[in-house]
Formats: sequence, structure tokens, C-alpha cells
Amino acid sequence: MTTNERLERTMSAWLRDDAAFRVPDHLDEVLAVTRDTRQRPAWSSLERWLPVDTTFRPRLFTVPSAARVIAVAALLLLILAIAILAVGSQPRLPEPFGIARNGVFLTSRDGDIYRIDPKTAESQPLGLGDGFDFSPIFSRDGTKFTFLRSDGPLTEPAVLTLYVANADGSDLRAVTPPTESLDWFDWSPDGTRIAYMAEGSLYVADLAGGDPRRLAGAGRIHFPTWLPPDGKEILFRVETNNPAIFAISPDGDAKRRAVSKTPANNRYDYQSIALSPDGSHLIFTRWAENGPDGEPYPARLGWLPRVYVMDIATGAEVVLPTRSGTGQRGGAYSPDGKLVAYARIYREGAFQLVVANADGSGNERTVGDKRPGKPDGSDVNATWTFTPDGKALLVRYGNDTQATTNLVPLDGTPPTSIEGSGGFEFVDVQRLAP
Amino acid sequence: MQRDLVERARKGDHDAFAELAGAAISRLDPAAWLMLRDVEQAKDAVQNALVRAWRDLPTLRDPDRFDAWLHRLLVNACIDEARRLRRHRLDVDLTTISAPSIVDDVSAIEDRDRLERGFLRLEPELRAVIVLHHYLDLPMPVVAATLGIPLGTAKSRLHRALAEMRAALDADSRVRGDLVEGRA
Repeated sequence: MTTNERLERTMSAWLRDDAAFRVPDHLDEVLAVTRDTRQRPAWSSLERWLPVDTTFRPRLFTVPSAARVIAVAALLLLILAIAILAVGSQPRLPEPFGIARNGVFLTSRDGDIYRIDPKTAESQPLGLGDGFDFSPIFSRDGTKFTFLRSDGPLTEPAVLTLYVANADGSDLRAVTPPTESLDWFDWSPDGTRIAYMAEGSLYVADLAGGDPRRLAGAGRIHFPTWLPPDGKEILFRVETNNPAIFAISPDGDAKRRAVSKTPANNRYDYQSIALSPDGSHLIFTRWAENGPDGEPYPARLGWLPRVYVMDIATGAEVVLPTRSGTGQRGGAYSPDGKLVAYARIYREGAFQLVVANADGSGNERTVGDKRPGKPDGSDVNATWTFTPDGKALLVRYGNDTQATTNLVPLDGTPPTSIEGSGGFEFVDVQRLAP
Repeated sequence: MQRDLVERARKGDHDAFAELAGAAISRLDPAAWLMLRDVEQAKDAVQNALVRAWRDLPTLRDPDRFDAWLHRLLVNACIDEARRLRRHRLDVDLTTISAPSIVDDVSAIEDRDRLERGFLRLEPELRAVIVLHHYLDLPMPVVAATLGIPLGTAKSRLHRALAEMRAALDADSRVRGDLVEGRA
């Protein structure tokens, strides 16, 4: 008998003994929940969903190349004149980062994608064809959007394809093959590539064509995010028992480099990554049994998450201040990089969104109502992001079965509900030039 | 019999689903405990898996694959649970109501302690392979299908899990040896 065979035999016996009678009977509790749960029609089930992600959009504007041949002067002048006229007649595109004007909304609900006019709140289906479509996300210049599609009835496991189309729904095409466990994607700043995670690996798809490329050197990852402003690297969280933040060239021609300098506190460290628009800082969530002051949280209430800011150049970390006895989780930067929005965790079992200064100087302000959650912050059923004009938060409250999306102004005026509400509802806002 | 229950449950018959859940929970609970090592998290994972099973049953194309599908939902739920954080690891587990049924000698108890420490160091995905294969006794092709990964990947994960367990146990033995000999 080999060493491994002995180990396996011992382990089987240990597993049986160890597992026996550990979990008390809770079948009645489960059935009470299922009894109140509505079954889905066959076409509308999907295990995974992606968070709302309005990010910062790059400029796609390219200057026409100079003429390379000598031509008749009059002809050259004519060409130049035509080029100037053509450029002048094109709609101005927003800068990739910074404050922009809000454009139309795209939303997915129950498997279809709709365009919502922000002035009239009227929605119109884009009519993208068959399939269960969800999670539309605009490119940084607002000229295109990408979304996920499951062809035919959805089954478990979900097999998804990433599609891209022009903002009006034209020129629809797939950029990945049907892929299992496709999750978390991000546009490159120049809008030519998309980074995504599938089966724990980092992939980059080029919109110009060709098969997506797996960046094997990244390791097992999550949350791939292009580093502003030039997108020369992709940041990601390494998924191990000692997680860390790393970066790698999207070309895969260099080794990954460590960005975080502090060893992980535990395997839940370095979650919910968001990057500042200038690429100088990132925020992340850290879970700990002791607060930043070193004092332990009450054991009966469990650990508590806090939001940290990291200087990407040095790896130095600062915890964002918050009210005593509360936690923080998640985060998003405002388009100008001055504010961050995160969930404040209340020990009585609730959460509430707040905005605060991104430099760690505090000035927390609550945005929207308190919502039920878990005292340890492990269950925050919401995703949020700033609108391109930086004046409101786009907040999706709910889970993958049912959700509602609200536009919540930061000035305290009442929120407005985005039209429609349903399963797999996601909303994104187009960036327009100011 | 089970196929009939699945067919009925797919059409919204909750009593049929209750029978299916009642039969399954006795293996789901221990499997979830093994993967998560926390009673409350295990209960949450099993509940999430069964609620999803009920909700998504109409999408299950082949009723004969119900068990494999349910195992997959459980594994996903456990991995989701494990990736969040959670409660203080030193919370007293008041719901443990039985000790292991076998009377062990000192050596066996030490072995089991070391196994537990080694197992705790594994990533959730590796624990899942071990639990499916060594606790639920699923053949490796079924483990692969349950996890939705190629057979080679499943075997590779099992190999890696065993190697990591072995390394952890060896390291543990060395530390204990050092302690006995007063070197640490």
C-alpha cells in the first residue's frame, strides 16, 4: 500500500466520523423558505450575476494618419479640408476618466436589454435576438457596450458568451466562445480589449478578432481591472489562502508583479477592489477579528470588514475612518476621484450606503435608507456606482432573483426608481462629453 | 421513484420536493460541514443549495441528473460561503451533539487531529474534491461532472489536495518531533 493509499483510507474513515451528527436538523426551516419561493420558468434561471459596473470610459478618438505620399497640393488641401469637416461633424467623445455628462441608461431584466431615455424614463428593447442577455456595460467612451448571453434555455452550469455591440444595438458580435464560469469583465481604457475571468484564469479578448488569450502567468485570479489611465497593466486579486493584489501586462509578455505589500490578514483579505480614476490608489475590503486600533471586535458578533486605501506606488495602506462600532464594505470611486462610496455595516443587522472623502479624511455622509443585512457585514445585497456626472449613486438593491435600481442624488433630494424591476437586472450609464 | 418526484417537483409540487430534500439533506449537511467546518455556515450553504434547487428545478433538463446537480449546487454554495467572511472562528459550537463514535487510541486521535489541521489548510475547491470522492464516494468521472470540470482537472485537483495534505502532515510531524525533542 502506498503512502497516498494509506492517507486516503485513513481520510475516508476520518471524514465519516468527523461529519457525523455535526449539523442539527434544519429541514423544516429550509422547506419553510422553499415554500415561499417562486419557481422560475425554464428560460430564466442563471446561477451567476455580475455587479453593476459603471466605470470610466476611454477615448476612442484617433487622429487620421498623415498622408504618406506626395500629392498635388490642391488635392492634399482638399483631403485635409474634408478630414477637418469630418472630424468636426463627429460627436465629441468624453475623456476616459473624470467627470462626464450622463447619457442613456442600458438595463437588463429577465433576459432582455433595454435602452432608457433619462429624460422621459421610457424604455425600449434593443431587440438583440434570441438568448438570455444581461449585464450591459458601456465602453468608456460610450460608443459601444458589452453584455453576457446564454444561448437557448439556461441550465446549470451556465455557459455564457461575451458580446459587443454599438450603443444603438447595431454591429452585434461575439468576442468570446461560449465559456463556462465566465465572470467579471472590464473594458480596456482604449476600448479595444476586454479582460475577463473564466474558471479562475485571466483572459484578454481583442475586439479586432482572434481567440481570447489566457494569461497563465497571472495564476488563479478574480476581479481583473485595467489600471488607469493608460491600461498598461491589469490589476487582480490572487485567489489563494494568502490573497494579494498583483498586476500583469495585458500582453502577457512579463511576469506578474506584486502590488500589495502587507501580507494578507486571512484568506478573505483584499476583496472588492476599485481603482481611482488616476490610477494612483485603490480601495479594498479587509476582514479582521481586531479593529484597526488592535482591539478585538466582540466575539459573539464575529469579525467586521473595513475599507482601506492603498497607494499603488508604495503599497502603503490607510483605513478609512468611520463611526465607532460600525464596519465598512465594498467601494467605488467618484469620477473625479475625490469621493468613495461604500456600505456602512451596523451591528444591529443593517447596512447603509455612505460617501466619504477618498483621501481618508472622513466626512462620511449617508446616502439612501438603511437596509437589512447581517451584523458581520457578510450579506450586503446591493451594488452601487457613481453616475458619470458624479452627482448621484446608481444603486441596485436586491439579489439575482429580484432587484430594484434607484438613482440616489448625493445632495439629499429624493431618489428616483429606474423603470423596470426583475431578475438579473443591471443598469449602466453612458458617458458623454461634458 | 426519484425520477417521478423530480418530475413532479419540476412542475411545482412542493410536497414532492420536500421528499427529495428530506432524503438528500442527511448527506448534504455532513458534506457541507466537512467543506466549511462551521455549523452555521454549513446550514446556510445547504439552505441556499436547496432553495436554488427548488427555484431552478424547471431548468433541469435531465431528471436523472438531479443528485449530481444538487451536489454541484451544494459545492457552489459552500465555496460562496467560504469566500465571504464570517464569524469568529473561536465561537463556541454549542450544536455539536455527538463525539466520534469510534474509541480511538492515542495514536489514532493524533492522526485525526493532524488530518483535520491539514484539511483546514486546503482551499475550498480542493476540499470539495476530497469530500465528493472520499466522503460521498463518487467516482472521479462523476466528481468531474459534478464540478463541471474536465476529468483530468478533477484528478489533478485530487492529487494536489492529497499532496498538500501529505505535506501538511509531514510538516506537522516534524514540528511535533521538534517539540518533543525540545528544539522549538
